[in-house]
Amino acid sequence: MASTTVPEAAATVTHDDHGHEEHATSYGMSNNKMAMWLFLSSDCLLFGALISTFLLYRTNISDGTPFAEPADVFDIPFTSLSSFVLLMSSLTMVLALSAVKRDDARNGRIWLLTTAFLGMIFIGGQVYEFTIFSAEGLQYSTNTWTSAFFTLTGFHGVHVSVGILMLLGTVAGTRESGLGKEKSETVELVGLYWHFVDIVWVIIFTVIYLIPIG
Amino acid sequence: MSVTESPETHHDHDAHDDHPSDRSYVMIAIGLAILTAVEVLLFVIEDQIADTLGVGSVKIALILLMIVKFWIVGAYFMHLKFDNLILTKLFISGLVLAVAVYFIMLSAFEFNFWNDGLLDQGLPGGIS
Amino acid sequence: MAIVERPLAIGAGDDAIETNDRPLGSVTRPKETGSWKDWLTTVDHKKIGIMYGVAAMFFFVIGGAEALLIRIQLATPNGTLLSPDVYNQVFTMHGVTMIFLVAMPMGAAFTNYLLPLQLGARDVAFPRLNALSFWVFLFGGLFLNSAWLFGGGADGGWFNYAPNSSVTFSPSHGIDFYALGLQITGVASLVGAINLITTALNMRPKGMTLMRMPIFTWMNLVVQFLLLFAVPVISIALFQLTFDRLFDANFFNTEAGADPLLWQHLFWIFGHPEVYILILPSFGIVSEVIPVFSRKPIFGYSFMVASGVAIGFMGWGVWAHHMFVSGIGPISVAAFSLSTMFIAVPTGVKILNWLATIWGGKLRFNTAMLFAVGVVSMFTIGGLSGVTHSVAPADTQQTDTYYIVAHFHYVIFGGTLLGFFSGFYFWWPKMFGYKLNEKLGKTNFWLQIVGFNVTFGPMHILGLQGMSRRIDTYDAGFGFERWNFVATVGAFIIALGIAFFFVNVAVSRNQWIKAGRPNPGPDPWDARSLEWMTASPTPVHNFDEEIVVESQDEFWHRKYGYDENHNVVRIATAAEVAQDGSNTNVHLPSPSYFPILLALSMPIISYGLIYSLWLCIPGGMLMVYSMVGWIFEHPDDPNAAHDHHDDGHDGDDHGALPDSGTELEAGDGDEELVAVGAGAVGETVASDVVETEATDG
Ligand code: HEM
Ligand SMILES: [Cu+2]
Repeated sequence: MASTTVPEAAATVTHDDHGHEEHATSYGMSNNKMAMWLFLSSDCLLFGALISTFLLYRTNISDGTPFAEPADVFDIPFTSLSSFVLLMSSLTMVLALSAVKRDDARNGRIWLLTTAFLGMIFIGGQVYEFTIFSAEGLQYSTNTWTSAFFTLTGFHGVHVSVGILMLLGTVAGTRESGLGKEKSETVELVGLYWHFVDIVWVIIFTVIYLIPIG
Repeated sequence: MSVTESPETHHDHDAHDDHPSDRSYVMIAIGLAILTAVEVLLFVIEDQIADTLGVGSVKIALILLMIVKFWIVGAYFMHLKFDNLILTKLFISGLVLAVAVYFIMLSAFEFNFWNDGLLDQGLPGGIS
Repeated sequence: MAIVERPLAIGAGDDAIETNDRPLGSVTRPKETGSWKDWLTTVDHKKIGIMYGVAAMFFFVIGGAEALLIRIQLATPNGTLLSPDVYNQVFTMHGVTMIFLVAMPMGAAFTNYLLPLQLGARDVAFPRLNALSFWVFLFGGLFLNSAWLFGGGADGGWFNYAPNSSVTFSPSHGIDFYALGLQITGVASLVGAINLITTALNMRPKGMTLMRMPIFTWMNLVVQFLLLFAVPVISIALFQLTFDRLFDANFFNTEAGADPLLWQHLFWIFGHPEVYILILPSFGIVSEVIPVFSRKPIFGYSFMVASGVAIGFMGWGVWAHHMFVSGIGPISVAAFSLSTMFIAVPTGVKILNWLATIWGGKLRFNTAMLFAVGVVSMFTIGGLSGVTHSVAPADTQQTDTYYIVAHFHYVIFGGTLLGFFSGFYFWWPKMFGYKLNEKLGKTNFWLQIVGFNVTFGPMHILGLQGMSRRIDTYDAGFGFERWNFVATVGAFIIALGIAFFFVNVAVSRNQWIKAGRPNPGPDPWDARSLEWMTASPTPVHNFDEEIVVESQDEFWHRKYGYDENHNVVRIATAAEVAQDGSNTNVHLPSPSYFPILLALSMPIISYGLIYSLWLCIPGGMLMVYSMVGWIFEHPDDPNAAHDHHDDGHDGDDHGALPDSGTELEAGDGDEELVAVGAGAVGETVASDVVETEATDG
């Protein structure tokens, strides 16, 4: 029993002091963790629909634009860099979790903030890309390709932004209570979400940016 | 849905202890970075490969790399390899389902044999 | 216990006991007072289940009124009650209401109430998220129906095909209300699915393996998985539609080269699993009712489970049978035709197992049983006409005719709704402490079943005669007159039957009060599963102590054993076995204002998207406010820990409180999920939320 925060202790001391360590859930894991995985599993279908829609319209970029194919607008070196940044944020995320599990709150905070920072760089890159596209005449309602592209990457961007807020919220929210070992599940769950957003980008990067049409 | 079996109360608390060390996390990340570099490289020399091996081989290679990266992040960073199997099953069921239904949906649009030529042959079912 | 942890335990520091009471300094934690206000803040799965039921009934009355309008319009040729435009709105809103606001939430009502009880649990895994689901659903439904006040409802049919759903063809805001309203109710379903799957998988009592779970719980577990995976698909389709209509995107804009089949595919990838989402709860109910009233265990338990799971799987591979005439090409047509024929197999297994359960049983034809038998017979008719559609060449004739209307009413009304009525009569004493009157119940049943067949039976004929669905009227002389008139008469018989249900509730309750509120006992039907092992009506804390399960139909096995000759003999009375609900030393999750506030933000934001983006700002602020408050508020009010305390019990008593840990953990941790969930689904408003949330820090 990781007598975590005071309220739990207060509430449980009276009842739960009979060493009930063994009374675990059916799978021996917390409900939160299972719920998070269920959510991620459901999100596969969400992104799947967005990616499929994009694939359906992937050749339509030329409608009403001077571009013959997506390769004409994609800036692959730039996107590779931001993909790399996001990928590395997964590393900093696991390092954060590992530090918190060691009860090393200081490093835990540093890595969480680094992760959030890398996420922001990624989002910055996306905003930059959107601005360039829009200046080149690729607006949301230009054609089916742009609608599908902006919606897909936009949904992903919103997921990343929510993740950044969760990271910052974890750091801010534990300022007083401390980011001890007992918070490791919080960090773990934020991490799961973060990594998921990262692997979605792994797919988007390959399928949308790298794989040639034709 | 992978819930048909009935694994009894598992206690995986101990399993948490053998998770990778920070060092191995860094190594894994370096591996991921290298894979990404290979992906970009493939993209750059795409034309050359396409000339000799056909453009299909580039696509296959890129998709394989993508799957490997996906798997590494899922298994190690997301800890699936060390957690209770039920989590992998839950996640995989969503993932596989997504790939399957959307693949079928896209083939219904994509593969030209669904429709192509049928109109000329006067077969029913082609878009007319 | 390491699992008692709070993700995002923001600010829950040492002084948390004081601050938790006013997490945001403005909203105090609600206290149970016994007034109606408790219902707004409750996190009790039983109250939430009942509220789901009441709300679904409310929408049922609305949808029913719409149905009667349709039938009056079609009773005679050249009906003039509704203009073609209004007719389109009425049948669309009828379908949408019945499917999304009646059948689905009524299933949720039963699942919420019964699933934790059948698992011997104290509540669901995330009680506050459960409350959130309900309020989100309710506000989504009200939002959807509010379209009537703002220029008319959606008019594109319940499946709302593109490009007919574009602004060009449907310039009123009806379809915007449809898209955003269903989006909101989708959030409710998704959150509920995560919650209930976690509950069923992870919170089973000791000894209850998956293959000992009651069939009702099993079927609803499958349903929740279907929701988990189907909701995101329709979500995206609805987002695309919303973006097309409000922000000029081109997903379904055929002028810009879009392919309208995209909507059809996405809709039906969701839509066919959806029909199993509608039917499986009812299958679960019937599978509980028939064994009890036949005094036999369910025949082929494992086949029942396996066929339910099989339906869950196969339901994903048949969607294009709704698109046989959409031009998907002969190979798709052949493949989907075949898979559709196969899906009838597990369904048939279920029917056979029910019949085998009834066979040779000691039958009691109570109202609950009558409705259950009604389900089996009516669903069989609907299933058979379904198989006739699976034959693509035949379906080419049937599709878009009244034959299809007959089919899906036989499965949804005859299958799903009759099942719910069976459930009402069966579980009413457990939920409310009195039985419904059998005589009125039987009148209710016979009127409903006769009216149903008089209404929808003739539609098979009309359809085969060529009457198309979704036409506002027809000329005399096509031979449609007679059966249309008959169908309208039938519709009013159904309405009368349902009125008898409401009368029954009122009369039974009055008689019960006059008789001095006699208690029906824990087990009025001699039933089999755990929900009957506690007092009626279910006490707030469900069970006094944790139940250790040793067999499937645990409760029955505690009441009955076998003598030397292997004859079943009674070994204990229900009262001896059941818990009496007297344990008052149970700590329950505390009520909260935040679920209802968070839910309320969603329709506000949606009105904003339709009418003025400015409105999204207060809506977004309310959303952020309630999410932050949610996170700060501890799910269990430490000060309330002893509210329900009775000194006669020792806190150390293992027997009395073995479950307090689990139950605490039950209340835990939904804060983070809510952040993720709302973040992911509330994406339309993301920018607002992001901005405000960032400043809130
Ligand atoms: C034996 C299993 C079933 C089979 C083989 C089957 C087959 C079909 C087919 C092929 C169609 C498409 C007809 C057309 O539009 O031309 C259809 C429509 C429909 N089915 Fe079923 N079905 C089955 C069970 C169910 C169940 C269990 C439900 C709901 C509880 C259901 C609800 C519907 C609805 C609502 C439609 C009409 C959709 C629309 O508005 O076009 N079906 N069914
Ligand atoms: Cu179907």
